[in-house]
Amino acid sequence: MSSQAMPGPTCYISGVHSGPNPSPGLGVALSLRQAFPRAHLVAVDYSVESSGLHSEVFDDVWVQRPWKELDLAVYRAAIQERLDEGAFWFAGQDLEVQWLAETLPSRARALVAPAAALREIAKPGISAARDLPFAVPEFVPVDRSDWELHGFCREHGWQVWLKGPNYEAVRVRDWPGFRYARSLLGELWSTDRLFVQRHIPGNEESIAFCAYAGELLDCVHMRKHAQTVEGKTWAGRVSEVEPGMVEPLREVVARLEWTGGAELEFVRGMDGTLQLIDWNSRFPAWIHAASFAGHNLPARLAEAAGCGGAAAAPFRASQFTRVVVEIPVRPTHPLPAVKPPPDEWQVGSKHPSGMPQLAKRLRGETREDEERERPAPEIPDAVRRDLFRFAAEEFPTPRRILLPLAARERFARVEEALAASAGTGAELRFGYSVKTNPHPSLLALARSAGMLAEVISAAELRQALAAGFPPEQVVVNGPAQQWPGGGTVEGTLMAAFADSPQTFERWLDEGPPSARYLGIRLRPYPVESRFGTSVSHPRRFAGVLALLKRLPPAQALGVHFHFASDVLGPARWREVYEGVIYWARAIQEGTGRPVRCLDVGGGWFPDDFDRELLPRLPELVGAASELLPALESFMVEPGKAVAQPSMALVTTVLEVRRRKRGGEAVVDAAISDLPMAPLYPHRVYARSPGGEWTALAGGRCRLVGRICMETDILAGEVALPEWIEPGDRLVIGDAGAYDASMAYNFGRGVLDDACD
Amino acid sequence: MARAWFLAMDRTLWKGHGAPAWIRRRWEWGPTRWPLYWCEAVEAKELDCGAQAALTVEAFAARGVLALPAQLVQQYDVHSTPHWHSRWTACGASPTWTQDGLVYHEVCAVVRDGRAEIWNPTVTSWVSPDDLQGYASVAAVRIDRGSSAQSEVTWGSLRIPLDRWVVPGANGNGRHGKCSGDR
Repeated sequence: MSSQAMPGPTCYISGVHSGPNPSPGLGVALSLRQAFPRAHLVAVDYSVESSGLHSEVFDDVWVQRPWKELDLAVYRAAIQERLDEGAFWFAGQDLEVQWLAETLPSRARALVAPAAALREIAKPGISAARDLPFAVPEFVPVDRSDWELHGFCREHGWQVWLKGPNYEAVRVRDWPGFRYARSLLGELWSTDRLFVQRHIPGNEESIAFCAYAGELLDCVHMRKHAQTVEGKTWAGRVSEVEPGMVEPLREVVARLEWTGGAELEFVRGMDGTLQLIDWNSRFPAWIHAASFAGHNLPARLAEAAGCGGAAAAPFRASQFTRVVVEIPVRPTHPLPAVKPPPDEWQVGSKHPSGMPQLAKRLRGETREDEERERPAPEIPDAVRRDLFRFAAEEFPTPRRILLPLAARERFARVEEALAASAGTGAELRFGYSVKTNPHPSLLALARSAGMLAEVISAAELRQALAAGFPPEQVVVNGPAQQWPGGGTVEGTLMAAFADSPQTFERWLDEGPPSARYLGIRLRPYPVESRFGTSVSHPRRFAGVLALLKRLPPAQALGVHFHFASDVLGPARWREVYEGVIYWARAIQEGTGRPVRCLDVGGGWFPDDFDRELLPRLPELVGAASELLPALESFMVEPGKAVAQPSMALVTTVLEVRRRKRGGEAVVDAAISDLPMAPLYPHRVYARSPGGEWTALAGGRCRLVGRICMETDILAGEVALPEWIEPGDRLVIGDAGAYDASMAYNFGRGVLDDACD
Repeated sequence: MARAWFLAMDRTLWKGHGAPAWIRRRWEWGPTRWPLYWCEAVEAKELDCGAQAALTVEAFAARGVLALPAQLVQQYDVHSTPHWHSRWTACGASPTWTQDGLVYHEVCAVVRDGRAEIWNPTVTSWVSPDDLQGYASVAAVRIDRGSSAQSEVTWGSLRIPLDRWVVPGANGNGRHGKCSGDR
């Protein structure tokens, strides 16, 4: 028999689905066919819906039942039998690789990495990469408290992904989105072992390699040029791996004793750093593109494993793209019957072969097994002391209470920052945002802490004056400062800022407010905001300059910028701030008048205010003073940072509904008392039978309110201690800002503005 | 005022690294009548490659980055030429930048440590020195000396003498000389 007539190797290739989110099997098969024309290629998958089964590149198909139906011992024996007969196994699904690595008695031709190596590539830490020139983007497991998770998301400006332990990632941009994604992924993968990871903007790239018994056989680099909406490769360019990467990779592969294909997925950040997102334990779906770029990795692996000599891989192109074509369906495996549309409440899955079920089986546990509470947030000392003071008091609920010690602590922070700012350039002032909570006690604390009052209406102005703020300690801004009409202010305000060119023009025509500083609020760019004057078009900018030039020469000029930092994240807020001071300089240059006052702020989450803004204030003031040498006054409006922790909502448990998984407590407060409940986590405190105050941990229970609204949920994911019972009081913290000032009367049987 | 507005916009949109891709997002690529003044440029809806490249150089310079005007000759399809010719002519702009499938295209070279990277502002991507064949490939490149004290830079593996046209691939590196678009 001539060598031409020798039968080729038999290769089982699993994971052959070829859709928008393809598995690598089809590419592996095409590459093996190129190198071993006489090979007997068998497609393996776990659903007849796997489209690649019908490709002509395969000589045969071996379709398994979905993973949830398979008897794993029987399947393992069937695979082992084929390997013992001399076949090779090219696994195309990470979880299948994991199962094979852990279960096969002999992995000689299974071409999978050792189980120990797979543990080192587990997300999110990917410890195997510690010796490679990659960083791993910051992450935090979701088994932390909601308070900590919210802080992580804010820290990264809500540029974060919520990721499953094996597959699946959801981009989340706010707290409601995070909670929804957490619930969705937890349900799909039957696990709480999710993590949230910082998003890295940049170009997505990969390194694919193959290795046998710890020897690196070949590797290629691929840069994505086009992606699907799911972020999967659609077109790209294959090139050599950077020289500085190859040797470290060779060493890591040797240490891991790697066998099989692999893909390192990373993002080349805008600053040039390489951020490793994933280390897949199988070839990528684009692997055939490497083959026609001259690097047939599946063939190199097959050769090393004993498949015989592979045909050379001629270079055809370094760039590749995918196409959509129709192919005939194998008559042996017709399409499954048309299914009715899914129920609207059914959780969708991109995994026809049942990967989530395999993940669950591999963990060998149920979700109930891993049901565990997420830790409770810490109770701030001042809040704990306030709670003890209130423990003995009797009063009807629901009731919002001032936490005097917590409030004093917040205002003390401001005083400390003021004291520390002396001599840093322009004079630093803080403005208490009256709209966050106009309670007289808080206004009094603000005044005694040396704060200005920032008001947005005539009504708030009167409130501030009534609280003892002299006009020269008041800053006016907002889109409707004249509302409601009537009354004038005797004296000169600290500052007034027009929200629009129209307001400023009216000031010029009718006479502006008497204020030490007059100016305009700039609309932050490029973030979306309804407030302020846009300068993103040169004509608008010219219009602003023309208006400001019309101010009397003796009038000092100010610029105002507010945007909620807990929406942008502190880092992004600082970027926008830096842009604003350049706009202030452009205004200065365009008007020929110095900018003497800058008013910045808005929406600081208390923790961020303390940790991110206050320590950096000298730097921010310095940067402004450098660009605006005549700057006299630098005003910071912390927004809710001061008021939010200063009050709590006390509510009484009316009914406890315990269930096998989770449960809920109905309380006498409602969403109308806590309108911010869905938007950020509120710490909930309860007093144990022993008299200790404790914060509720994270769990599967809910606190639901008293009114007939589906949205009346005050806390979505808390653990209800066994000792909670009807009549107990709960204290919902962090309720002193917009929860107080935006609370409404729904469900109380009253109307504030009853019509005639 | 127009320049101050432009620089403030750039500073607002700059994240500390990267090229000013916002320029192309703001101004479509299209015919421009020259000479062009700042006040006209910022008001325009479309700017040609020369204007976009000039703004890009200005933005980089304001960031403290050494950026030099650069020019390419790129290969496109012959049948594209009449469309561009017609569009430019209809707007009263000069169509002489395109002929027989070749186009003269203005870009921006960012130079660090003697190494150039070429930013193509009209497609918001870095030009690869490997793109030397096929549609939109680079047939010739020239980098102005501008304010640079250097006489030569490298672009990938190519040596580029400043103020000289280089044809990549010729003589194993680049063939220096003049072409019809030389200035």
